[in-house]
Amino acid sequence: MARERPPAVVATRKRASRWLVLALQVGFFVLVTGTWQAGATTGWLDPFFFSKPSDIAGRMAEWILSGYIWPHLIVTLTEAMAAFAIGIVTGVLAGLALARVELLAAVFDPYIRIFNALPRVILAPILIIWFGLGMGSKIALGVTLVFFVVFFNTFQGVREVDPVVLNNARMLQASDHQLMRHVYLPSAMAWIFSSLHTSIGFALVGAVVGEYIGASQGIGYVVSQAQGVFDTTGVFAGLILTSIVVLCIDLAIEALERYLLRWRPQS
Amino acid sequence: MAVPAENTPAAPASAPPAIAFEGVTIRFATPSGEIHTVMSEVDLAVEEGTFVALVGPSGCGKSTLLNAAAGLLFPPAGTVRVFGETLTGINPHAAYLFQQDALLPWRTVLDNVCLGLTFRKVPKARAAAEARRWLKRVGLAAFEDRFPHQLSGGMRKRVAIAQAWIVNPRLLLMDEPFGALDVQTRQIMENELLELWQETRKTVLFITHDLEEAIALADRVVVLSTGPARIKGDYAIDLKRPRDVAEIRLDPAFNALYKRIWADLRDEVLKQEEGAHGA
Ligand SMILES: Nc1ncnc2c1ncn2[C@@H]1O[C@H](COP(=O)(O)OP(=O)(O)O)[C@@H](O)[C@H]1O
Ligand SMILES: [Mg+2]
Repeated sequence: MARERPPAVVATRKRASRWLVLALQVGFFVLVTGTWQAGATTGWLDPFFFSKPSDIAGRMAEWILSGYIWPHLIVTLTEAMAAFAIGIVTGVLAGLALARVELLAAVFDPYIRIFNALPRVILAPILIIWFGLGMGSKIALGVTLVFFVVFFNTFQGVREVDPVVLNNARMLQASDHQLMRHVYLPSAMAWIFSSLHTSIGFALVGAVVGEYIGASQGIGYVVSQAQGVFDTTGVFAGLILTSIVVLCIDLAIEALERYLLRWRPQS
Repeated sequence: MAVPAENTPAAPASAPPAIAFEGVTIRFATPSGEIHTVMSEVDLAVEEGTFVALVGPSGCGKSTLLNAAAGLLFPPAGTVRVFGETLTGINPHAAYLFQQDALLPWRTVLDNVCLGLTFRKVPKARAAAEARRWLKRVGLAAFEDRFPHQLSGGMRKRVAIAQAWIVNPRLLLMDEPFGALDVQTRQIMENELLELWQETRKTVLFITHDLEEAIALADRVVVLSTGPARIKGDYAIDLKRPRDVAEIRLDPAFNALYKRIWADLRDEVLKQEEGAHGA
């Protein structure tokens, strides 16, 4: 790539610090799980409430190897990804529309504020009544969470477009549609991406919470079953599995972001 | 590039001016709610094929006037005519060179130069070939894959020039385009601009607060007065062409012109200073 190369000294120091960070991250993990394991083994932590890292790892391995967890994981991921996709598309479209049409923004402003202030989890029961116990209600809950984050960021991104860049494109005879595609949308992209990191988590929260409240499959269902029999190990295993999945998706988003936003100055 | 016949200075006298301001008045609402009249009843005509420089103290309304010529801003009173036709939207004959960076930061140098052609739906391959020709012309052939932030200020200006020129506009509007560059780069860019202009003789309306730059480049220098802006003076610059901006400054005729115009401009600059201190 045509990126200007920093001086060699800086490059080496940067690489060294990256290894240091990684080492400290692993160290932190070992410290926490080690303390937890030791505490649970010596009885300082009650394994009934806190379980034990070795048990949790064992449970996760068992779930994965027996194939028990896969259908649940696939259901949860399908719900989360559907909510994520629908939330992004509707959020970006609404953000672009309201940022470009003053009247729409003025009319919808109070409603958007009210709806956004509402704790969305309260909607879960009504969504289950509307969309049933299947995937529909979980997707709907995820969408209500993802939509607003993406919407606000897109709106802000469009509003923050550099007026000089915009006028330059207009002088070059860009049509409204071309302005949207070549100026507003790329300008909002940085904002949209930063919203995706938050909203992928929200999409999963929507799916898992929805399943927890009422479902017959999915990670939320597995966790609620485990909780029903006071199986702390199962609850933790479900939790950690979900976190690992979120982390993987987030890393993928970050890679995509790095590629799509490669035009930005580093640092 | 071939010089179209109608672009030569010997255009028939009956041809309408490239740009004509007729009784143009522009007002803005201040934050406190008062009406601030930036310019009132400005009349100015720029003949086709001439290089006109507009000078005036900063804040006097030069950019505002240029934006009215570009169709980016609509005067509440008066009309702007472009080649005889009243302007009702973005000026279709004009390219605009801004003082600030105006390239799309998310597009490579090549894509940026192509932009005007892309918007006009020119096939991609043809647009790219034309853009490469222009990049070569401005000495940036090796940088087509860079993004704007990877270039120096002077290089970005060159890309902006190629971007403006590629659509072959009949009229070039420039708002202190070299104001942010260091002195050396600026002189190089001024000479390159003159060279380009010499080939095509497009109509140029060039804004600057630097009187030396105005005289060195233009056929005609128009002095704007401050608050509200009016045409204070209008001077023909009959220095030889082609010019070199560094050499022309040593010409005695240059100095004589400078003294005459500066006498006019100085009053306005002083007024502006007093206004700024009084406020
Ligand atoms: N969009 C705007 N809203 C309000 N006032 C403006 C606006 N644009 C310019 N002005 C005012 O108009 C005057 C002239 O501005 P400008 O044309 O940018 O001056 P110049 O380019 O000569 O430095 C200034 O006093 C400025 O504050
Ligand atoms: Mg200005």
